[in-house]
Amino acid sequence: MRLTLLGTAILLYGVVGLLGSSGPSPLGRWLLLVVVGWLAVDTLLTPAVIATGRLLRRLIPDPPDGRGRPGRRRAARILVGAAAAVSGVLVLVALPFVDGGGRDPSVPSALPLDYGRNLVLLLAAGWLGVGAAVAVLLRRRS
Amino acid sequence: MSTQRRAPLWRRPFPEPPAGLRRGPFAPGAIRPAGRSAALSARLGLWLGAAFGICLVTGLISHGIQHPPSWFLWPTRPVSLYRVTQGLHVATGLATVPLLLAKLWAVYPTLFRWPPARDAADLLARCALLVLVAGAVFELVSGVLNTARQYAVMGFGFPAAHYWTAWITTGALVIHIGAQAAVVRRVLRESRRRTSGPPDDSAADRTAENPGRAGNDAPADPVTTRRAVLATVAAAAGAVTLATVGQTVRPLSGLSVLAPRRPGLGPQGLPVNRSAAGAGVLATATRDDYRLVVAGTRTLRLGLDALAALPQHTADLPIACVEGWSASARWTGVRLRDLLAEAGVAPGADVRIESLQRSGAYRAATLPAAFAQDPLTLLALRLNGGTLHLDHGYPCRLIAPNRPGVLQTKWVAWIGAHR
Repeated sequence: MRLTLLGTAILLYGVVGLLGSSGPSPLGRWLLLVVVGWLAVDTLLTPAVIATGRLLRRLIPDPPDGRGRPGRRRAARILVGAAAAVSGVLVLVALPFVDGGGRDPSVPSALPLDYGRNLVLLLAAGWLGVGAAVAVLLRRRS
Repeated sequence: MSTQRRAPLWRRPFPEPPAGLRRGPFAPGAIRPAGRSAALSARLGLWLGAAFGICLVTGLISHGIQHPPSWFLWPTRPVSLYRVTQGLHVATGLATVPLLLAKLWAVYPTLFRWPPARDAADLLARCALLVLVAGAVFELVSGVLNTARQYAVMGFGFPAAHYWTAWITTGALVIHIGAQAAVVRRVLRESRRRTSGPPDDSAADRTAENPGRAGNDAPADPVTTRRAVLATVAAAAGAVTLATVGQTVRPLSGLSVLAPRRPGLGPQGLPVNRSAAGAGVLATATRDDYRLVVAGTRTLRLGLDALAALPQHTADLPIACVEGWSASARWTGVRLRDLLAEAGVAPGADVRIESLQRSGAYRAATLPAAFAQDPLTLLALRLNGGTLHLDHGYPCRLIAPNRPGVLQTKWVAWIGAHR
């Protein structure tokens, strides 16, 4: 209860500051990003992650009882899922840089790299490694 | 007469919503995520709490230096302290992206909990949770956009928005901690007690907010067992960090292929945030009749030759940007305290420094007396052995230890006691 009161006081302090003269302007643009950001995560990103998980379970299913080695298939699936998640996060973080809208011709030292190319190379290198590991994991024993 | 006390108003159950509304994602079993559990949510929550704590403290430090309340004291040493705190602020924020996404994924089923609110207190707690989620997403999105200089996309003043939303988010987080601390403690205790069994099928792995629905959320498939999810989050945070932290940790700059800056890249081997052209000082900074005015009991008017004739000192000091990048450089110029003494400015006075810029939030800065009198604080005329580049503040710029780059005023025109 004490934490609830303390939290409410802090929250209200923030709201008062936000609406006050030292708050951001225009407030409508602030609200737009708040709502768009939240909706993007809860209606697009998270459902996409869940759908990817389901797809992976379908693509790399556990073998029927008694055949094959479920441990290896699971490891492969976890590896691919993790690689997809890491790739997704990298793409998300890199997007504003790849877009390049923040570039200023008079400041070439800001955003100096070819972020699109670097992102592709980074992902390609990562997936090459993951592909090799998955191939080893799913290889049939002769 | 009834001896039973009625529940307080905020704990009186709301009427059950019509069952017909329980559709779509609210339908029973509609969202059955594999691998999600209370133990996972609790751990992610702890990590996230630590990350937000670091961002809050370092963010408040940065805000305090730029808008110091009377009680706020920021030391001049170590010279790279701000470089560390702000580098940590941005690096932690970037690493928090996967952490927050994983946490929101882990608790996703509770977004569609039924009934949506049991009573008034529950409704308020859920509203606070919505504020927490939206605020946390905003802080990370706006922070990343700012490091990518996407000011137009935001369309609002970033520092004020980021600062006040941080308070709102912190308040909602404290409310959330108050509501969930007991659950987290219990879940982690139960989880630790089982050290030998598989991680995802015990009481500790029930959904924290829905302890009775363990059956629904127990993973049918371990694609994403708890340990795998935590390892994935750590890997994603590590990847994002490695890909960007070279903007402030120079030895890693070659690895940081997504870093917004390269510490050695820029005029005279140092990045620039605002160019002379962007600041609108190209003409005024290159005029032959440039004079630096130092106003005290006497007024000094010093041209470049006069400044160069004064005793010169050299200092190795970093430029540490609020956007998270930083780089060290060797500066040579006149000690500010020598100029202030010559002009008769009292040693205990805070000092105001104005730029040739006509406008802009950072056209002037106030230097606390301790910084103004520091032997390392220079009015730099040279950088890394050459004449200061126009984009670094030619004819002369302020460079002081342990300050954000935006307060290291460039193209200095006027110096005097702060009133």
